[in-house]
Amino acid sequence: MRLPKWKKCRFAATLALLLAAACGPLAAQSKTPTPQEQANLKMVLRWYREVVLAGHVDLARKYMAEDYVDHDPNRQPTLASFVEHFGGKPPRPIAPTLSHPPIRAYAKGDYVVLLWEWEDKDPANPSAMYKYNSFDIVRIQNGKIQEHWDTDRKTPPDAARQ
Amino acid sequence: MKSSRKFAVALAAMAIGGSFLAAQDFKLSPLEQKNLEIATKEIRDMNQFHHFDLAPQYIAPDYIQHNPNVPPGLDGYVKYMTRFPRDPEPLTPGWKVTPVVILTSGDLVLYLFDRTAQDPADPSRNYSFNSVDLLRVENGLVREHWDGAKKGQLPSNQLPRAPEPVNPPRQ
Repeated sequence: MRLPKWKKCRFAATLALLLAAACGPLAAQSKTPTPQEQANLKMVLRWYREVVLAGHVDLARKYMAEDYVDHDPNRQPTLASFVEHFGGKPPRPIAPTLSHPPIRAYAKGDYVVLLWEWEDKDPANPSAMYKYNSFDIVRIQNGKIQEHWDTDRKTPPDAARQ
Repeated sequence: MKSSRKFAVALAAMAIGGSFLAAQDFKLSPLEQKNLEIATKEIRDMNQFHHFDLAPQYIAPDYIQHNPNVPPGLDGYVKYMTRFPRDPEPLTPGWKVTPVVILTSGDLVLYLFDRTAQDPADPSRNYSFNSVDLLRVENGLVREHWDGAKKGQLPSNQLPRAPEPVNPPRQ
């Protein structure tokens, strides 16, 4: 029996919907990052190595949206301010890998998390060092870094820089 | 509109709507969902509503603490968090301070918060910054904690604030 065209269409659409619904829970069970999440993480690490660390702000717009928003309290929230801050010194050679890699790094949805570990002089005992952490979190939108947060506090203007 | 076309439009609308929800919703595995629930016991029920009686149920005895101002272990956490007497508050279904985003991946659960504090450059105003808590959960217990604290700093939610009005919030 030949089905009319509209019945074939509806059948195909229903089948597709059922397949999509079935795949949903399967995807949810996997805790491995999705291909997009893996790509986002790679991109952010490249951006960090090329633009942030090596100061190649000429590459900023390759990675960052024009209306990028930065929540770092020590600069204005704009792309222009980011470029001014990280372009302050001449660009350095781009290292092939991160010499001080994050101790944890993962992507989830549109976000990428970088956790760093640092050492500083112990204020209670300046001849000793202590460890602390900082974070960089970015949100990706349309393949570009759209928003950035970190855990920096505003540096008092007349505080001695360590 | 023909019924087949109506059906196709409805399907397209569902797909678009569903994909938007998925992007905001972070599909979590059952294990990730469980880890999120346990981590939230610490970050919300304990840290925000002061139910530290829950601590032994959800935090491992050898809890690894990377905040340089907080002593190690379950004991260290409870002693530090109860160093000023604070009565438990009735739990609400939601947050007292809602995170900007919660990012759960495997055994790691991250909470990002907006904070304000007195601007050191202008004590008559406040400025905006962020705090982060990252927990590692294993076998139903919180095992490890990282945040952005530096030694000797006041916790981000205990800093002095200038009287209102607050600076216009950032985008």
